[in-house]
Amino acid sequence: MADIAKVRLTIDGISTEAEKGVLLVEAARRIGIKIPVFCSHSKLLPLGACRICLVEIEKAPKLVTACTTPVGEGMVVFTRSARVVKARQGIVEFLLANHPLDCPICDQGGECELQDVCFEFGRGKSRFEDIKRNFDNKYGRIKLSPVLSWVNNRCIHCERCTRVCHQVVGEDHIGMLNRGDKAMISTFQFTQMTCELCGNCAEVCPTGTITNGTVKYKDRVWNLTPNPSVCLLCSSSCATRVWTDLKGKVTRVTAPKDEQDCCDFLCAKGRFSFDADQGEQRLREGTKITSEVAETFQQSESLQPTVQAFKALAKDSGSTAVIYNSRIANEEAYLVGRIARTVLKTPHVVPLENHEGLTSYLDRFSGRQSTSKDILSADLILLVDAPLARETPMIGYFVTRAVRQKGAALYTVGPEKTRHSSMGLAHHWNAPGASKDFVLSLIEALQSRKSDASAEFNKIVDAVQGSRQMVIIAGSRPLAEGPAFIRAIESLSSKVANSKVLMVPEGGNTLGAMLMAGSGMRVPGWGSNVSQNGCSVQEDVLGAIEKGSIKNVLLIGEDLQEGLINWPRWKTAFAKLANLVVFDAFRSELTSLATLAVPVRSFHEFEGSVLSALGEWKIARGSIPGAVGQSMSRLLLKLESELGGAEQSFASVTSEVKKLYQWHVSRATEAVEDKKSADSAGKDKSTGGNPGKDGVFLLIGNDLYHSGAMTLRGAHLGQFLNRSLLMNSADAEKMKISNDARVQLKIGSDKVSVAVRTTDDIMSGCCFLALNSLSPDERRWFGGIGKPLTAVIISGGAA
Amino acid sequence: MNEYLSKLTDQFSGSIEVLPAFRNECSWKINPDKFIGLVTSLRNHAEFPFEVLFDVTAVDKTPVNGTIEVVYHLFSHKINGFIRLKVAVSSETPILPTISHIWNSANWLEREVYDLFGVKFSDHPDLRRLMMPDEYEGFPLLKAHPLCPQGDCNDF
Amino acid sequence: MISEKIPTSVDKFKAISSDNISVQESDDPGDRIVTLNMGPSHPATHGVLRLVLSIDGEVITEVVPHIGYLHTGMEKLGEYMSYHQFIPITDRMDYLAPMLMNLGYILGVEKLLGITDEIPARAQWLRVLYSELMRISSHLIWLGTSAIDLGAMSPIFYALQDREQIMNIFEETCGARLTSTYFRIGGLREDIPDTVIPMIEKFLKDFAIRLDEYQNLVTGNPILINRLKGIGCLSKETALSYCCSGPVLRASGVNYDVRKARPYSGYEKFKFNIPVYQEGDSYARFLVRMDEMRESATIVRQAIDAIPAGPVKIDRTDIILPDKHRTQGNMEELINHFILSCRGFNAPVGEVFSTIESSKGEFGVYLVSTGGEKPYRLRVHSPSFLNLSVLPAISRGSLIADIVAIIGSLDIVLGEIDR
Repeated sequence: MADIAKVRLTIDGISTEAEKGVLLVEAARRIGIKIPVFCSHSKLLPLGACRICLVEIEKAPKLVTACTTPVGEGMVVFTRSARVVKARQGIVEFLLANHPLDCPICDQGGECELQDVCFEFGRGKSRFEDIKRNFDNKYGRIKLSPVLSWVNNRCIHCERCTRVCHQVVGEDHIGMLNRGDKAMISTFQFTQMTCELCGNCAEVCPTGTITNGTVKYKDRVWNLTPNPSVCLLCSSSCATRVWTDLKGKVTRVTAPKDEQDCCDFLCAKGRFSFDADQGEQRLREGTKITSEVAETFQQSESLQPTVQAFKALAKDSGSTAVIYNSRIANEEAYLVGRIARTVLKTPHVVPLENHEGLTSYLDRFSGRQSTSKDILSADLILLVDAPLARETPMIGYFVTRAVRQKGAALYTVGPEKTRHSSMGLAHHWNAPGASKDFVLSLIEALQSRKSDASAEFNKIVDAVQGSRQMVIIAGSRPLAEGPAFIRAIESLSSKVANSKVLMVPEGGNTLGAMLMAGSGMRVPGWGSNVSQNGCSVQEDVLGAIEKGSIKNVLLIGEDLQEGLINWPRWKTAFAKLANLVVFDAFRSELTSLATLAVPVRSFHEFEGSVLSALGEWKIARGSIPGAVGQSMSRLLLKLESELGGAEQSFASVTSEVKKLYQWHVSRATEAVEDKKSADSAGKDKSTGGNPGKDGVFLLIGNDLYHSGAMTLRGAHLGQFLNRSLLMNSADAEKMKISNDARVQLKIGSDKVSVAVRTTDDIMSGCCFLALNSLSPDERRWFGGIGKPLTAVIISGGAA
Repeated sequence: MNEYLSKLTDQFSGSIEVLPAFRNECSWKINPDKFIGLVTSLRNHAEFPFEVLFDVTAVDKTPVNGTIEVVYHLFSHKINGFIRLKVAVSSETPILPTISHIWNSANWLEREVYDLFGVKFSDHPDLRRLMMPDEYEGFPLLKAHPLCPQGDCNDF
Repeated sequence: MISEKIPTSVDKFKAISSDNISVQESDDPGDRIVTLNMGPSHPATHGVLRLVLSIDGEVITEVVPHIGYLHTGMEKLGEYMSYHQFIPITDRMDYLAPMLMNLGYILGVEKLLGITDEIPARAQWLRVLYSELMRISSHLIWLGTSAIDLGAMSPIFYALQDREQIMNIFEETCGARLTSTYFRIGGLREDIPDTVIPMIEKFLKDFAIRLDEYQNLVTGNPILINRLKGIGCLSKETALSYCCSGPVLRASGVNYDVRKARPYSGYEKFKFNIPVYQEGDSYARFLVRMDEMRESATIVRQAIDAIPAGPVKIDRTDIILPDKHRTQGNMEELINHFILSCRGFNAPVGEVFSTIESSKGEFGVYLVSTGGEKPYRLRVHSPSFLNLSVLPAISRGSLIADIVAIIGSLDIVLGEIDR
């Protein structure tokens, strides 16, 4: 790509240069000159509505807004001339004319952009004598969201929220009503807001109009300390700021501001789950069961009991299984893998969330998957069964920006129309589990069109053929189709010039954990004295326990019981074990069953690095004061050295982990040269069924504020949970089921009663039920992430 | 700045680095090796003797550039003005020669700087802690030292 | 019923002190030195000061002062507070003259901000008025406590009674008798009420009579003169070398007072003298302070006769809090109040050193600012610190009773020394 031309200009007497197209605000910021802004935001398209950023340009007759003016060659800009100072004072005065005297009761006080700008650039003395505009009628204080607080009186009409909603969140929920001094922001017909990226409008609002209602009146910002961390609730792995108060308690979570690589935004999960790891549900004390008697101990005293337990596990190496889940950092996963292979000498190292295609994706695409920059610069985005807004909202954020801000073309494929389908150009219905077939037929159609293809399919083929830079994004259901899908996608990508692939798995640090813990089987010489025939999925482990070949299990991660499929069966199986060692942050039946349960840090408190789905390496420092004990990595390091391993510092583990990732990336690059496996794509059998034919397909997924129990653990997230069964309206009409009726779901031999919501957004023959609307018992027939189940809907009658 | 101070600045301009005169104050930065020589000549200056060592203090600039800046304020009755001398010592080995044999006020002032910053003054007659208890560990006014006690209050 | 007797300390002493100890005179002077601990909790040390005296009989051979019992880390605290928030802390330094401490610190901050010339005339005038009242109050306490240390029981009651009038004036002005926090960066907190001037007039009338009585006490009392004359002689060179300041320095013959040398806050408009004595002993220090009280009363008289009209706050709401009634009804003022209270104003990058003449000596403040709302380094130079450091030099060879007189004449305040 050619270098962008640079332009020389002078700002306040300082000579500088900037690339063509850079706005004056940004050019000034780079040399340390602060120009006040309200409506301008680095991630939103420029608007120029508030006029506070007016600057004087030599030879220009009027003052211009720096946020909409790109740099020009030879421009001489003054940001502090007398005209500019007077203009700013005037704008501030006008903005404050109708602004209510809410500072003492407004949550934004102390971090309010209006306050800061008015203090620095205002007159300091008020001349306003009239009555201020007041929205304190039924519209002004309407509750538009269960978690956000709206006070329309404070609005300065910068329209950041409406633009965020349109360009970043993609919801189009907020708009400006009325005109003139009666203008107010609101939702259409005052409907409730239930966005997956909830809270971003509050985050960008420069005043206290929209604020985080869950922390209303709780504390002032100067009493809070921001701790940089990484969110572990989905594979977007967003950088966060976890704010703790003077007592060390986590009070709120926000996105980092004004940092180069960070989003400036978060989703509702990341933002409103701050209370999920507080309170009684946290495991804070370890328990040890010896001869039917349970003793508790603090994490700081947990080393000796853990060493003893591990020695017991190591005694019979073939009969120990290690199960980890995706909510651990890279270092922790790496140490788990190393301990499993070198200390416990076991071949059974199993991820709790098994995406069958994940290993093959990691082998072939590590380091060369699509990045956020690729998405933003793409002109065609194809979502193959990827409900991004529900599973990984912040990857959906990049797609929304690409479509709404850069004009990329978006096509969606799958059994359900997602939020992104509404901004896409067409949606092609495709059965669940048949994504591979779609990709293969797309490859075929690129060569020769079939006459019986649907109009949408043809549109997609046209778009792919005409694309300049394409990004294909697939979610957890295609991943569950196994390595066959990966081969298909790779084949497609090789046939389309300049295309990138992105698989978005569910869970937190899914990619990182699997890479690091599973590396032992790949890294030459590491654990080479261990047999290669270990269990690879949790079902294998369950079967082995029932058969009696596995007598000890080590479960390590966070919120483990939620990830165990068919909990009642596991419970009976665990009763057979000699040793059950559990490292978990949350209390559950599993931890009370464990012969040794060790409390660990939760997803806010952990220390370590995380690999996001977009290939970004993010680091959490684990500096929360109220964290339970030390981080898991340090505990495992101490454990290793007690069990005979070499002593190692945490810093050297972090560098080893990084090197290991580079090794994987280089392996994946080598694999690209290996064309053989890509060509065998077409020979795999189809895994998709026929919706509607063999019973009605049931798509179980993690809904909205997902991550299994996380929604239920947090009081705020739980308000968004949708517990209805989403059913196609045509199917419902045929079966004479009306909206909001209760039906019975028969899966296998079990029956569950649910309420129905009819919609056109789901394919005929399919329906969707949120996993966390079911109890652990009801969930036992859930087959695994992304694997659609067959169920029969029996209409009528309550349970 | 006071004209006498300007005269002095010119006189010593060879061995000092003159810092910008913020609010018309006279500030010099001195190398630790040239320090004793310079202060002695200031003390015994023919025209403007600096009879009074008014203040010795330090500024912990470790987060900025890894040094502790020891700041001396000298006063001359003739000039009726202050000179500020700054000597930077490294944070790892902060040692300076004492000037308590030139001015007696340096005795306690240097003890205070040692107590609160850890800067050692070689050949000081009595370098002990002054404000803090004798058995205290740590140097409170360093930036790395916390403001509040950490840990369980029952441990103190 | 206790079956066996529990030995008391007296019994234990008797058990060891039977015939094993013999007392005999020694000729070696080293054997005769007794280490006596004076303080920290001692009525004559004027605060929590510990003096370890090495005495040979009654004669003091060495004095080692130990300070730090009142150390509260004020300089460290200053790095964590905004400039405005630190003003009440300065009250607690020299707690006998808090307004002077406030003034010294505030003048330093105003110099840093570069607004020294913008302070309204009325504010400056009132600052002088209250500083001098504070000086009188501080000297009255000194007089009473020093006298009672020397055995004169009555003066303290009269001194405190006069001081009570001053305390009442302060209470009427700002609500607090001792820790006033009345001055602000950029002026005063609020204007004085009308009731204050009559109170000051009455005080001046009563004080004129009392001053003569105190003068008589000091100059006309042979016991006091014998206790103080020739005791704790401090030569001019030693005083300068130890950087003594205030009355201690002026009693040793150095004609130096910051109010005359580098006038601040409008002192150049007032007519007053600086008492200087040459002897350098405790008596001279007593006389200096007596004369200073008289001069301060003159300044107060001049002050209340001609208070200029006008505002008492600088016209910059981004530095000083706006008036309350404006804050409660106007948006800009509310915002400015909020930001000033919760964060503070941003100071320019730079460093300043500023001194004033406090009742104890030359009080200085050294501020280092790297921008931002909090100072990077806040150094407070206290005069009592250096005045106390001269104690060993001037009390070697004196009697224990003289130490009390010397400490009294030095007029130290431990709050200022230890910070």
